[in-house]
Amino acid sequence: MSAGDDAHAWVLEAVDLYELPLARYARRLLGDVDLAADAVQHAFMKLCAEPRERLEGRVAAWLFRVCRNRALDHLRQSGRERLLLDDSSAGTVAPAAPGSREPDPAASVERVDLARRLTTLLADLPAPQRETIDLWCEGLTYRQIAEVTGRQEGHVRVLAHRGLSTLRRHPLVRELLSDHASVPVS
Amino acid sequence: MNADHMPDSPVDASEREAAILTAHALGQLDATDSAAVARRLEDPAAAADRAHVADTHTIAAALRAGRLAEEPPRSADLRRAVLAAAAVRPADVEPAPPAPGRRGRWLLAGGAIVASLAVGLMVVVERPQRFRDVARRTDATETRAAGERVADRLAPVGLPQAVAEAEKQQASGYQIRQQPQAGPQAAGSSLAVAARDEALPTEPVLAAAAAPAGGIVVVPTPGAPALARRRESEAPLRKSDEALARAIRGSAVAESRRNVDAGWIAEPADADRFGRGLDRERYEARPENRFLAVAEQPLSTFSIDVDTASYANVRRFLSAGRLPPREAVRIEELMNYFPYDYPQPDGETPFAVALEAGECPWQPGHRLVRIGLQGRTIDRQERPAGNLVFLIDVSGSMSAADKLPLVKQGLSMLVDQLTENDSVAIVTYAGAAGLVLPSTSGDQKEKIRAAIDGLAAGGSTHGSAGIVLAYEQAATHFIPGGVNRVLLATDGDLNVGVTGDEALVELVTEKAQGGTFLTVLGFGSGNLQDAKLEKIADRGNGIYAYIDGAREARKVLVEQLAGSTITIAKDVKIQVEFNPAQVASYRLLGYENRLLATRDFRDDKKDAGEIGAGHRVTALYEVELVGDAAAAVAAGEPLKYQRQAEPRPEPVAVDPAASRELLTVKLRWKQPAGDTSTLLEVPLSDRGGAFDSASTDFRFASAVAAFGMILADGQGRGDATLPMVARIAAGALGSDPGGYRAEFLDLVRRAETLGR
Repeated sequence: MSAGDDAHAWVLEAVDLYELPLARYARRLLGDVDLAADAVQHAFMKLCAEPRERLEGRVAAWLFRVCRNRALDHLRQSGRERLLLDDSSAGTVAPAAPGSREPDPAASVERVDLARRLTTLLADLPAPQRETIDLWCEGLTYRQIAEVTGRQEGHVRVLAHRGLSTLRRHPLVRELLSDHASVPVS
Repeated sequence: MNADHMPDSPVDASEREAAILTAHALGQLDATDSAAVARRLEDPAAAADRAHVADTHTIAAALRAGRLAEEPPRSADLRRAVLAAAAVRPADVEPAPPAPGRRGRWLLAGGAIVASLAVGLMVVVERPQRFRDVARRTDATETRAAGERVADRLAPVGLPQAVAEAEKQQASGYQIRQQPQAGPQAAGSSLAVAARDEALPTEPVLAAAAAPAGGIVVVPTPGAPALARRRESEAPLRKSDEALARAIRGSAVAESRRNVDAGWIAEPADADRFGRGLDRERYEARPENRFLAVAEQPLSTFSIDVDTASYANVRRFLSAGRLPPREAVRIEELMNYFPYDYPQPDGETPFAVALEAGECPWQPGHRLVRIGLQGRTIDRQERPAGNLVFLIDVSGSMSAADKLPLVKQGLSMLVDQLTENDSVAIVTYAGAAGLVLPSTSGDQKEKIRAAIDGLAAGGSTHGSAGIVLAYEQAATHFIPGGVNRVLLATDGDLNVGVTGDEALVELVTEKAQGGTFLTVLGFGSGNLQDAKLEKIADRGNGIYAYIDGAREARKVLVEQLAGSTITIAKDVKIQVEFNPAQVASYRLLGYENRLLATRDFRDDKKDAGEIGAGHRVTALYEVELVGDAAAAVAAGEPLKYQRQAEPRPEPVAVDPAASRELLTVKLRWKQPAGDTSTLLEVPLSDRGGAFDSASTDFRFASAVAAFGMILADGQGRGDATLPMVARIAAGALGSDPGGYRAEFLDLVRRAETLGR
């Protein structure tokens, strides 16, 4: 096998692995299926032109980053840049009311319901927190997320924490968690 | 809460601690830290922390599960684009079955290879369970391909007897009294001959590179209920995609040796590829036409090609400061891009033949022979009525500035040319599908313009039978004796509503037989399926043009309106018979994928290229003269060809008058509606002029050919350099109507800055 063939197989493998995660991520960034598809395609086209050695071990982060940059360009062009970068626009998640529940190990978690509500609430988080959680959901580590978003790893850790804490304090989430084995939040 | 909103809000110690707990819950701590946190959580006093970790874990897991549950459909576009970028060339497989009707002109062995494998892959796509068979076949054929290559090398000198006999029978003009001995030169050429002989016509099927997921492309539909449906149909899709990918990966070894004019890399590495070492396999894989000995192979047969897409594509790359991938460079399309001042035909023949011989600028001692065809120009006012149906891709990817907006601009320019005799319809697909403009008389310009203005890309509604609708429109307004044509404008998405490429080709072929031809207009970058679009246009007796800007849109849709819509002759084949008394060997520049077997020339069932009103076709042969004859040719000149002189029996032409001729060009063509071909023969004698004394057109065409060979890294480029190309082109601009040649010169200079 020549180097060219290897590269070719390598890109197809990357498509197998990362197309869907990238598509979901891009769709969340852009809010549009077609634009997202363009961004994803762009990332893979770039990958085709990239020497494999240079990306050894960091393909995922690289793809997400290229895809993100493309999405950012798009948002910038349409003046929606702040959707991705601006913190202050979001944060409309209702403040959590203190609640107390009994642990109930027997209760079955309505996972689907929880996931759906959480997804809705997630959309209301500040963009950097939301993006960090999105990327984690797609399987990226903090380190990779830092690479993709150009932030410090410590910053990523705080962003994930703040986002998840906000969700955890939300009354709806508390209610759902109460069906699950848990102890009251301090 | 407020702190959450500020990206740089200070992080206090307790939050830092809590963030570590969250990281633990998310599995983001390394083993040491994780163990430390776990120990801390065991402390009975750490109930709140335990709750934190447990809740966070639950929330995060639910989020991730919810996320993974929503699976956007995998994009067929993406896979196609990646495959095209990798320039897939699958391995050899058994020859395709005989064509039931018309045959294409995709005659390189590579074409057959791609074709057959593509069939296999299509089956895979539709029926994943058959994948194993295909994989086995791929393996077997890979072995075979390798075996054939060895056979090529070991092949005994000369052609199989039967073929040689057939060739001789056809070589009526210049009979050779005695077979010359095959010297080392001839032996070398015979390998090429053998290779060429494999290039038997086969049923063209679309390249695997371009195989879309056909009917099982899952289209996103808004709304939750669609999710379940989507996931259901998703399973076979992903399976088949995997199969597709694996099958293609499996054939990667063999494919690299093969050259089919596969797509190019849409966004090539910025690295200067001249600076990189050559990949030997790929280098060998490009079947650039080699020198063939006249004694072995006196006849050279090919189908004309009036496509020009490669030039526009090369221009796009160079304008963007990049060298085009080699595979994107097709010399004949580069040469045919330019207008040449060939004489207009007179009499019945719809085209005239302009032959010229001159010095070869890149190979001292060699001569160049230019074959120019000029299609009869039809005055726009006199052109037959047109029944044009535009089939426009309005998928989301078409929204880029160089796609749909350019389509609209081109259409608007075209509308100005229409009269009440013409009719136009517009059908869209891949987005909001349907009939945008029912067939409308060409004088209702406002109505047509309004429809054009209303075109918008986006949406993801499945394109219902777009192409069927287009052909229906064409059929209901069919103009007998007129120009009936569907013009497909796309960036490569051929999900036109017909499932599977085979079905599409079949449909296009059938409609072409019925008199409705297809023209394909390629737009944009990143996704363009060059080879596939060209093939489809070919099957539809049509033209494939790549439109990269307003200027090109004008050239194709306005200046060539008559040409790209009126076919004046079809199945135009060229056969050149070289006079062995004059020519020792020859090489056709470009047209690698247009070569025909000798016997196809007379076979009226063999499909070949069409020529439109005003179209020009240019082909160049590089020839090496017979040493002894050189003196006679270059009467009075010093002997140039002594080096080549070898003792060999002197062939004598049957007709003494013909003995001084270099070659005879034979053309076969049919009337657009005809079934039988007409033969035209034009001989050429070389008066032995120097390069500078050749015509402007001759010199310019040779500069373009040299440029193409340099870009394609051709082995035959000899002494050709970019400065040489620039020098020749600068001296051969002529009157340059339209400024195309000046633009060429500019591109050459751009390439110089990118080259070594």
